[in-house]
Amino acid sequence: MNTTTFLSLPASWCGKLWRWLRRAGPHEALPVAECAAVAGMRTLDQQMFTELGRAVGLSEQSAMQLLTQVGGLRALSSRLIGYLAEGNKQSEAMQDGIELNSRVIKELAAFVQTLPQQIELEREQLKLLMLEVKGLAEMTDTIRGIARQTEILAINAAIEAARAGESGRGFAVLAGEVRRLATEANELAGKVKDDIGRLVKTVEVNYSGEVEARTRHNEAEAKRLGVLTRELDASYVDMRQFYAMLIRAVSQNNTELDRGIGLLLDSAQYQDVFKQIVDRVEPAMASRHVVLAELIARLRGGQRDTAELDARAAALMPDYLAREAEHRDPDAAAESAPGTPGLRIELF
Amino acid sequence: MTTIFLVDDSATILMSLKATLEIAGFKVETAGDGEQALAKIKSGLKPDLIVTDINMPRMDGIEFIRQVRKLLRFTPILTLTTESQQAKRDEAKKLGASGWMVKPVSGTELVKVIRQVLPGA
Repeated sequence: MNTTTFLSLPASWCGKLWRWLRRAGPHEALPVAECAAVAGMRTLDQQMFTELGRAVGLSEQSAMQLLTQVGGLRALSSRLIGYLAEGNKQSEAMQDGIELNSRVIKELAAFVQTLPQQIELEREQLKLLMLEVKGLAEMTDTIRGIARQTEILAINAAIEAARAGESGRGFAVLAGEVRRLATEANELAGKVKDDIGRLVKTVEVNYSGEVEARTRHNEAEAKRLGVLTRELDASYVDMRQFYAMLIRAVSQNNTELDRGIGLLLDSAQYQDVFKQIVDRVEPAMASRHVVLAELIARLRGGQRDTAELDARAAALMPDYLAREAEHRDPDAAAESAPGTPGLRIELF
Repeated sequence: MTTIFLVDDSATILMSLKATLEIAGFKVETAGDGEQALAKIKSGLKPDLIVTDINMPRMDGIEFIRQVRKLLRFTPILTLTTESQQAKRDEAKKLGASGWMVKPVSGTELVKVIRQVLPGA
């Protein structure tokens, strides 16, 4: 074991160092290189702290970059949650609109379903109309019959007037006029009958057929529309349920994302805790250097009594631990440890 | 908007808590030690609440609380530290601190405590 290696040992080993030196010989002077070794060790320690500081700096830099990124992510996530909340609100408003539309469609379907009955009623009414028109045609036959009877009566009246001679001349003129009017009535009734006949034929051939076809078509369309509106109503219900489920899932997902990012931000505080732990090593190491330097100086001066230094060296670790105890363990599990003082958060 | 003044020599603590509190809807001002924080308050900053570390260079949290109480008598002050010495805790309380929090504290808990101290914030 060379001297430098030995001097790198912890301060609590100084007693062992003294015993080893005593065995080496009471009057043997320590070489100058060993004093330089203390200085070298201090230089090494200083370099160690420089490196530790650099490591802390790097971790801090890294943590800050992470925080920048995570902070941006959380802002986005929070905005997304806001959008979803707004979307949910809009969804509820849209749901009212869909329910209204659904009600309207149901009413429309009910109306369409009544159309065939209405068309059937109109068809029956048309049939009644046709019967009435045919009835009119029959009435013209009666009128023509009356006209023919009137004409015969007028002829008989003319014959009787001729038999009466001069006294029946005026009656013969009247009978002639009655006969002329009966003939005209007969011709006119015949013409009306022909017109009604043509009209009935036209309605029967064209209009009734068209109404019949349209009625059949409307019946089929009404059935088809009824089915479609029922399907539309069902699809509205499906869409509403799907949209509500989607909103719930995305909201839950993003709430968890937000919580996770929040925890990431919280974890960055450990960097400061770590830095403080490292910072607290420095005074302990400085105390060790002081004790060690004094030890070397005494040994170089030939002093053998190092009891006071031994005690100070022995106290280094308890002192360090006592200082550490003034700071809380960042591990939450330590909260339940016996003797752990206070709460992590206390309002006065 | 409620303004929170964070005082800590750790840049990561400031960034972490600033992000958390801003998302919670607070306006956040920061300072790296007690001296810098005191200068900002003397320049006119009037926060609704102060969260300060205890162990800081140049001016520590205890001294900062002592000084800031001369300027802002009623502003709530919360400490956020790794310190667990009862003596320091008692001193902070005596100087007018409203509460003592041990690092690390979750953002959710911090926001809850702030809203407890500042109802309606």
